Amino acid sequence: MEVFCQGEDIKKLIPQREPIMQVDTLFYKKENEACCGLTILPDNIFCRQGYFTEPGLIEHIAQSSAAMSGYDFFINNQPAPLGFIAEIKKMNIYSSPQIGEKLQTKLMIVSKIENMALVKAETYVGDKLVVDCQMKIFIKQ
Amino acid sequence: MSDFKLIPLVKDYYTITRQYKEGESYVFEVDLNEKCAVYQGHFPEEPIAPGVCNIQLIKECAEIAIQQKLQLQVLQRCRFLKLIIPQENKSFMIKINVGFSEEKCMVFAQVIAEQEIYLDLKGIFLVCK
Repeated sequence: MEVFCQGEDIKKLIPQREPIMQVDTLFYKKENEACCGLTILPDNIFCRQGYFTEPGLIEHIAQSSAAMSGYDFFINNQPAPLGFIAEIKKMNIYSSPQIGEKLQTKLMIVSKIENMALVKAETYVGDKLVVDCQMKIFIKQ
Repeated sequence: MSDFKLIPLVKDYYTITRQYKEGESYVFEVDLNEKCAVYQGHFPEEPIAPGVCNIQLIKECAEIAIQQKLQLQVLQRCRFLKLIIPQENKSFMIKINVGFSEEKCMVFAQVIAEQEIYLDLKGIFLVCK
């Protein structure tokens, strides 16, 4: 897949920094869709005994949403805004990814009202679905 | 006595100061540690407790309550009702109710301070053997 933004450049899209950064790639951003990625490295704060744990998966999805909205600020030469999870619903975790695996998260904005966005997310390792959920994200303007 | 021993996932994120049962609920009083490394990145100029660390905190308290390891499978709902800023308020009460069905543990939890609910969560965890 083509890459829009990767590595250090991702810091232009999200406000989170080490040691809690959980997105390393933005593949694409369309009007109401985006796809983000993360390679799970051994020193990731949310890894335990070779596996990437649940809070890591949830934070990866939240930061993917942050990158999606951060993109719109970036193209307008503005810094990435702070964003917070307001609500998580219908989240299913089907399996735990392992160190070295690459996550790919597809996001779709379901609705957007003022500073609140409702996002549907699906996280894959290869073509295997790992997590799906709905998340409400609040963006601080 | 069970030989269950918890090693918190995120180092130095919290300390449990008191733990007791209130009717059917397990109650944990915790102090969040504003010096924890997560605040260097969440966020550099504005330390705010990461929501996912508080989900992990609830999971770890539930593990202590039932003396078994848990794995999150379903979050039916988790609401973050107020931001948790440890520089302003570090003491919270975690109130947990659990129910069992086969190898699953249903958890309902609230994070409370001064009668205000900061977070509530309803989820299904797999009890790890």
